[in-house]
Amino acid sequence: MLQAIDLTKRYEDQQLALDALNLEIKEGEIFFLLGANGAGKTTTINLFLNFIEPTGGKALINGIDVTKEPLESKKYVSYVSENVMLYGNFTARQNLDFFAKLGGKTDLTKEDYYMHMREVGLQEEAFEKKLKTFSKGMRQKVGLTIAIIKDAPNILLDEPTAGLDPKAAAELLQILMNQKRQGKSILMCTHDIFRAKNIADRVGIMKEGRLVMVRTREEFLEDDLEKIYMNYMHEMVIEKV
Amino acid sequence: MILRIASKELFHNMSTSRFITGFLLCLLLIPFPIIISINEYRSKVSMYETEQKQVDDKNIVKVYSAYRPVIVKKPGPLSIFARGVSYNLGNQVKILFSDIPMMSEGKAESRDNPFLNRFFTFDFISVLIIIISLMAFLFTYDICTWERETGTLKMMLANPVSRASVLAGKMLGTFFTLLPMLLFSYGLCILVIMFYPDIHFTSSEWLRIGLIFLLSMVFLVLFMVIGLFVSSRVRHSGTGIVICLVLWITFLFIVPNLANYSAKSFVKVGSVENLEFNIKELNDEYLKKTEEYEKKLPGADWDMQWNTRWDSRDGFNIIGGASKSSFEKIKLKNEFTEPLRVDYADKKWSFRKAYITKLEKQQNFARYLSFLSPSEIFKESVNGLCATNAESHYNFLDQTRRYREELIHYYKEKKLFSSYLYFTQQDPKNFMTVDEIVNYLTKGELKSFAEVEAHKDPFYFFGKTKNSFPNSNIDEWKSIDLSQFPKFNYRPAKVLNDIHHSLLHIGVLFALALALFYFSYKSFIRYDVR
Amino acid sequence: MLKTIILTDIKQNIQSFKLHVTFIIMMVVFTVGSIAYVFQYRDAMEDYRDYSSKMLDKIRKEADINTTRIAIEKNDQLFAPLNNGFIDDAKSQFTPNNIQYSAYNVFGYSISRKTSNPYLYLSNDLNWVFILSIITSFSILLLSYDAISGEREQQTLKLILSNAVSRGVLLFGKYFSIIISGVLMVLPGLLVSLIILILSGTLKMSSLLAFETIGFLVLGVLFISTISALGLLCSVVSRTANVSLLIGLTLWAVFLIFSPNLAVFAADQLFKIKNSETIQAEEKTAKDAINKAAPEGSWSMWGNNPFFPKHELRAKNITNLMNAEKQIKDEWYNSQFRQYEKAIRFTYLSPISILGMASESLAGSGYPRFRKNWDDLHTYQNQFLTWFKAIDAKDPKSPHWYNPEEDISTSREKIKFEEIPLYTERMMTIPQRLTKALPGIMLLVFYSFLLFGITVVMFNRYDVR
Repeated sequence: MLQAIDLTKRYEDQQLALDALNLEIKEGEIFFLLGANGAGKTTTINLFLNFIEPTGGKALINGIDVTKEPLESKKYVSYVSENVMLYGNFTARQNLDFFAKLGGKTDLTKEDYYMHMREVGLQEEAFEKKLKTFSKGMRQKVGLTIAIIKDAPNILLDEPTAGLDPKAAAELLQILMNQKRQGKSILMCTHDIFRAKNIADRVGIMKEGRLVMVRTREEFLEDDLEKIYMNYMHEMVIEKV
Repeated sequence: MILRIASKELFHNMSTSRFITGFLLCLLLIPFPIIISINEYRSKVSMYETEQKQVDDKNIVKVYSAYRPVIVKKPGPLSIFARGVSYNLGNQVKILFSDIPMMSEGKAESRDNPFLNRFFTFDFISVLIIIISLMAFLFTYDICTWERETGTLKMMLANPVSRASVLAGKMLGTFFTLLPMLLFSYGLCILVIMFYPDIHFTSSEWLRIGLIFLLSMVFLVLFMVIGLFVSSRVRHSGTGIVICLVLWITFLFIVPNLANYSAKSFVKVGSVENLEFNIKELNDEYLKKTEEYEKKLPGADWDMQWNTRWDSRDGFNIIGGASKSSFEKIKLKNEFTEPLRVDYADKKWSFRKAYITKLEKQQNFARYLSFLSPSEIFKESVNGLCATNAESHYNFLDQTRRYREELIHYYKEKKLFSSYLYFTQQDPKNFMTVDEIVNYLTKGELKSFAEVEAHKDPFYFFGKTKNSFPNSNIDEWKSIDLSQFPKFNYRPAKVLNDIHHSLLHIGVLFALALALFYFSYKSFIRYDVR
Repeated sequence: MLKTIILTDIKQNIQSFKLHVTFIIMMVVFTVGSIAYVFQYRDAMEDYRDYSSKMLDKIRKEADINTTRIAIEKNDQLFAPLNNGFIDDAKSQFTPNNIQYSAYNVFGYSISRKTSNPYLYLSNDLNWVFILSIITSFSILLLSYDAISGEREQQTLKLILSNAVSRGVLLFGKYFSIIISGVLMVLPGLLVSLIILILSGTLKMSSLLAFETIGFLVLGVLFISTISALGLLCSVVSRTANVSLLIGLTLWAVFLIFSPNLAVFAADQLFKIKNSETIQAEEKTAKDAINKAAPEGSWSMWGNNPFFPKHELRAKNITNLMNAEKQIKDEWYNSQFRQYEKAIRFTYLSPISILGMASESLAGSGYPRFRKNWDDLHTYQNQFLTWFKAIDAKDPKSPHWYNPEEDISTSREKIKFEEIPLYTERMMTIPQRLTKALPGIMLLVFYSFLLFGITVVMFNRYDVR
């Protein structure tokens, strides 16, 4: 379970990046966090991972306060960053091996890694190829594999489908559904409103550091989610075809 | 956990092109300097052997005034590793009574062609410093920034691993990446040396080499930590590399030259001419005193000498034959002039000492200024361990000066200055008066000196000589026994003594590394990983 | 198009962090170096004037004794400190700067230790050549290593080439802008240096000094363009800036370290000459033979009587000894000259060494200066001896038996100091210097063209994606 209680981040130059965020993501729930660039999505993830310190409120992972017990809290969360680069000179398996061990899974075999990579849809030839030869989609898959192997109860994803072709994006989301069914709490920051309708249990929209709207699946299936989103983004209204 | 990160770091580093470049640089740049150093050492050894032979030849002395030992210092093979000042200075120290040795003499350049000095060659330790510090920087300048830029830092820190562990692991891994290069350099060096079977090291010298290797590791770690510190304070790898490279150029190339050039320009040494002028004045004063004294002595009747050689510099005088009164006069003169010569040596020493002190001052200034660069601190301690720095030369000269004191004391004790054997092997019992000489040499044709003096024609006497002066052929004289004389024994400083000096330097390097590591750690804890 | 590229790149370079940092370092070194030079030059000139006046006093005293003393006196021609040492000093403290001569012979050369402290480690002076060869070359490398590979990584290279710009034009624009940036970096330092020197009174402008300064500037620009081409080549050889930097650094280190070591190694192993022990042994053998063959009485001496017949034999013997030594030594000296000249050729692979050699020639210092003095002194010695013999011929009290070392059989008349022809060093003329510097200059131009040419070829096949 992921909890943010009045989570606030104000920078030295008085810029308010996050304004009293209150959020709770239960087990088996996929939460899409939408918003314009600079709205505070990445800041939220950074606060959960203790990459920055909150100026107010707290973030809890499985009930553990991330600022008070950072190392303990990180045992229960997996992370997929935007723009997965990894170690270019290592092969996919070597990258997996390193991060798996860091995450606490020390007794996995080569076959285990291969199995997981097959599950996300990576081709066999790629397993022992150096990562610098991978396309963006393939790298995202490796990043996702790393998160899955850790088998932590919570998963944080930052723009995982950015730059992916529709097929790869769909595959990624399918994997997330599998994880949800295993009872993982998933927080995904994204622009991808169209996918939200497919798999999100709840959707939140952030604007200028504030969570201005939260809708459950039933609610936004009825509403015109795109229109609401666009209104909050103050962007050009696209004629609905 | 730390070990996992370390081994990841190690394997990843080994896959980069920097790793191979390091070994390539070692391979290209290390063998030549060693070969050149070995050749320099060998020629210095052969020079030593020639000089030693010459010294042994010269030590066939026939009179006490001829005994002026020349001390030749055996060159040490450790100069192959670090040249220091050993090739600025000669091997020889002449022990004179009229002067206290100020500096060593003899050929300093080990190259026979002095024009080749135009090329400043690098010795092993200089090349090692260049390669190791550059490689250390190239591997650590982006130790924080690179992982941040590729996002893998965030991925690591999303796991239960503390920042301290990450830092420690990365540094450990990088150290074990760079250690093989260090080993390779030393290995190459030893390999090249083994091609020259005439070069061998004693066990104490091997100990020193081991200590130098340990010091190199401290040096490596220090530069790694400097790179780490830079990396932890900047946000972009591009900035990090620029700062590191600029530091590298400053430490290795600018500071040493700046220090020396400043010392030469701002710390005056005074001209050698002035010193020589003062010395000359004292010498003239001494000459005047000896001349005055000689005038007061009872005159010799005939100052003719057979087979005589002399050297005005240090009182060397050997006389094959002369009249009894001549011999006696010379003996009396020596009783005064030789001890006075030693006194004047002390007077000259005050000027010489002033000059040397200025040289040392200039050298100290240069040295302390150069300590702004950690590589210079390292080099200085290595020079100390190889006994090629200025201190070990001062030590050697001090020992020669003490030996000189010993020798003079011996001369005074055994009253050698006032003996006839100081300048001739003629037996006092067989001294001849002038008349006896004239009679003997002309085989009785002329009976007295008065007859010779009566003739104005100087060739008259020579025309009448039919004999040569008895026992006056210096070449046939036997050399005198010198076995009782004090001999010079060079006692080089023990390893502990040399280390004790270097310990201070090592301590500074170590403290610097620790301090920088601490600051880097503090920076990394607060490092913005996004 | 070209102008836009050049101006943009220059602006970028000037605003870049790396240029600022290296610029500051260069300015500091220029300033400190010039100030230190002022002090050092003053002291050196003072010492030299002291030394010269003492030498002249010595000759004056000798003139008061007799003429022969003037002829047999072994004089040391110590090279005076040059007023262009701030440009380059060609390691003058460590190479032969003293020639010993008398009227009878030019004996040999040595390194006068009077000006150097043997307890100091060998080091470079902070003169213009040093700054340029080490600091400027390094900063040009830093500027240029990512000119192409860096732009590729930033994705801006394909953006530029998506316009109507040919690759050659782009490359030339970059090349030119690096050269200009390099020159702009160095010029303020040179100006500051000149100002310090002029204000302190150390520098008095003369046409010769103007030539040396301008000559050095031209050389500097050529050097900068060679290093720029080299940096650009490194940039084009790799797809990543890091590897370019590695290649550049490796080449730089090799040029700096490898080149002088190679020269000495070549001299030691390939162009062997006799060592001093062998020469000493040869001299001893020759001298012993002469002494053995000398007629009876050659060593007799009767100081007060010049006409003592044995003095003629003595004079002949000593002359023979001197000539034997001279022949052996002169052959050895010539072999040293040849060895050195051959060794230099090995350094011509490194632009850093070429800069040093060419500036040495332009400044009229170093080895060319030595050779000129060596040859001029030989000429002077002949003239000096002729003059002495003429004076001696006029003296009836001299038996005219010329003895190179003693005054026992030639004129003992006093002579007026003003009548003695003294040796003054003549500096190399401008045409002479240009001739000596020409090979280096041509080589730098050649290297620039060659390296840039290779870069163009490689860039045409460069993958810009």
